[in-house]
Amino acid sequence: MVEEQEAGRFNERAKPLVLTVDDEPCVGRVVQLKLENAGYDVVRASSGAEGLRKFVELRPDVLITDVRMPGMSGIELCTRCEEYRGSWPFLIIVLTSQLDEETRAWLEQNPDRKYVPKPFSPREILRTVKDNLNCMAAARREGTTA
Amino acid sequence: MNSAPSYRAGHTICDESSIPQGQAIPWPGAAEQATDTARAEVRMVERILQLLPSIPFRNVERGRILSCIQMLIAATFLAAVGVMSVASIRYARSGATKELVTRGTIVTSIISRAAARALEQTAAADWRAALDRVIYDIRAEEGLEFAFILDSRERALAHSFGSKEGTVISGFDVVDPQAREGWTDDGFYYTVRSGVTLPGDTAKRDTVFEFVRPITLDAAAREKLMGNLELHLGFALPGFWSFAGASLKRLIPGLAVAFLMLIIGNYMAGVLVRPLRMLKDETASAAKASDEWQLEVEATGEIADIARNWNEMVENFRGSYKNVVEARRELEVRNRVMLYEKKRTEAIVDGLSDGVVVIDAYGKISSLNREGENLLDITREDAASRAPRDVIKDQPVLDFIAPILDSPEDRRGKASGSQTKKAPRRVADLEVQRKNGSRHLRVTCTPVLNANQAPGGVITVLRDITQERLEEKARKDFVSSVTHELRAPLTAIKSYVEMLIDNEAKDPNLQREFFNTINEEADRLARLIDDMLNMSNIEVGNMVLNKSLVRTRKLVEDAVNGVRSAAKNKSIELSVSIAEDLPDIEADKEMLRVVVTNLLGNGIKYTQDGGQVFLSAELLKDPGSASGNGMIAVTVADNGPGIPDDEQDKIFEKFYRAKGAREQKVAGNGLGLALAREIATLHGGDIKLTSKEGEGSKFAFLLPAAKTSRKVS
Repeated sequence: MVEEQEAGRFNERAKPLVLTVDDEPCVGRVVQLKLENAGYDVVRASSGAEGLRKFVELRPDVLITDVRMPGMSGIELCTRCEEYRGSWPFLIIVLTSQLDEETRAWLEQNPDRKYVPKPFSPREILRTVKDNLNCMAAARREGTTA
Repeated sequence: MNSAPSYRAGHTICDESSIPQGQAIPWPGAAEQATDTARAEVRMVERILQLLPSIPFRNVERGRILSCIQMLIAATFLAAVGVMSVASIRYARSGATKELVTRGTIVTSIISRAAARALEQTAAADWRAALDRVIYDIRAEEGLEFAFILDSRERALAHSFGSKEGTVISGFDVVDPQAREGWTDDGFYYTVRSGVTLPGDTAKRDTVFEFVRPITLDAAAREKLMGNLELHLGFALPGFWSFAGASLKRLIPGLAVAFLMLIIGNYMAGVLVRPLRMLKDETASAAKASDEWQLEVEATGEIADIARNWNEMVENFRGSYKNVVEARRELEVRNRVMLYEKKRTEAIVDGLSDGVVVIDAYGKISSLNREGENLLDITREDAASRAPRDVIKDQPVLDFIAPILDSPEDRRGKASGSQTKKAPRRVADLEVQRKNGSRHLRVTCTPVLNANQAPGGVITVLRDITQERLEEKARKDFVSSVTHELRAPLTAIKSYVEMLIDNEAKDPNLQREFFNTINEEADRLARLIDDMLNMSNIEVGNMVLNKSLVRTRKLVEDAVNGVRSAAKNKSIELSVSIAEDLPDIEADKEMLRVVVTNLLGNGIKYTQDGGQVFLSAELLKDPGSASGNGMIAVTVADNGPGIPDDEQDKIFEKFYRAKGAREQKVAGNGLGLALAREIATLHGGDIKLTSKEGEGSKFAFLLPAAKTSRKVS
């Protein structure tokens, strides 16, 4: 399944790397399983701080994070990660039960920021990851051929 | 005729000093002068009378004045009569003088001729006797004071003084012949002597007219007598008082009549004044009296009418007065009621939980209640009759009410329009800064009209909505928390179920793990719903405790086991110390489990990773309980961030979440401690907190121990 994602185009890795951050272990567990089954490499973090650390260290292709977390919130984590926006391409997917105006505005600023409402379906997560990574790859291809 | 006589030197008959110099005879002109004086006096009285009406005398005083005027007129009349009398006396006296001069002249002439004849016809030897006879005959003449005949050597040949012949009439001067001016051709003249004392007499005569006439003799007789003789006759003019006496006799009846009239007039005045005086005294007494205003005046006519009218007036007045007194009483009662109402209204306004600021039509603060003082942080004394912008320090409030105050249309209604229209009410929620933080005020400005539908100012009502705002925020947070808390297990369940449906978990062990997770999450969801229901039930008072004898140790151990995994996740050292022989508790087991779990869960949640949470359960002997069996204390202590002093009470409030919890974004719904305390209270116990910021917290759950312990399944 991952073959079609053109290995090696994602930050010099054979498979796209997904970092999922959630304080609820069972949520992280199910996302991990679904994406791993779909052929992605998945790394989990249980807090914002751990997530940021792993994000900087591993430079993942996709960051999936819960918004409401103790300590560093999902939005704060995303904001910190956005600082690396020019370093490598990555997709951000936020999971939240309530999408307030501020978060919606923030999401709309960049097409590489996506949102999946809670309670989510693992299929929807997979679809979002897959579709957006394809879009990103296509865009990059167009960019290089141009 | 009235020329002043001169006196011959050497003939000092009388004392010179006793003779008034230049004595003039009063003449009719003097009477005119006296009349002028009387007229002047009358004019003066007239003038007084003219002045009188301009003086506002009261009746009695007028009576007195009238009496005085009457007496004054009588006195003036008497004075006039006196003056007239004096004048008439003088006039009469001057008439008498003329008569006397005429008579004296005639008598002197007759006597001198008779004497001449007697001397011519009498022998020389008898001429002295003849002369004596002449003198003797004339003695009875009315008014004759003296008579003597002088020879050419001025010796008295005969006289009425009783002296012998040739005797110089001592003490009586003879008019100097040299000074006999104005004599008639026949040598007659007369002179007037005043204050003379006749020889041989001591009494002074006031006025004596001395008539002198030569006795013209024939040659033979002249020879015998060595010259002509001179006849001196003195007639006394009766004195002023003689005339006055006579006049007085004539005047007495008139005077008596005048006096009588005076007395009668005075009596009449008295009769007239007496009722007036009585009226005056009665009215004076009535004026001082508190109730007896009726007059008792013995009088007839107008005075009686006055008294009667007065009494009628008093009766009328009494009626009116009664009405006035009643009206006044009613007014006093109303006044009291109004005062009471005013105080009551003030008390009500003062007791309102909302602040009230009344601004009058002139833009000044006219009223401010206690809560208004409190909310605006100003005092009534400072605010009274001052413009809001001079007193109120909160700019947002001023900015809100200023347009209303500055706009006459708003403050005074549409004054310029034909009909007054009240401006609409305005409401705003404003934030003001105070020493202990910001406050939220809901300010309502209502323009009001007065009783005449004219603009009457603005009533500003202030309500402190700080707490409501906090509660609203807490509620929103709560909803958000609950939503999150509800969705978290739901998300897990949904995603796990979908994974199973999609056959993503092929390994049977993984499948079992998934089913377990789904089960746990469903339980978690059920607990959350239970918490919310319990809180709701407690709030509305519908909480029913399902009490049974609970084994305390088991309860605590179960709760500890329930949170061990969470403690392990955070590497928190969870130590437990449960006393031996811990008594049982008569309680709702599920509720107690909720409390202990909440306390333990909080300790783990809020303590940083690697921290410590310590639970102890023991029986406190000292503090007595309602049951008298002592209290069981389940204490959960941690070395977490602690709770600031000012939040230690608030954290037990519903939906309240401590600042630290909010900042750390620790998950929670703000219900745990509120629910725990409610449950503790329902069981006759309590939850005590001791905490110091930065050092940790200790929650002691106190519960009364049950009387007896028995085995519980």
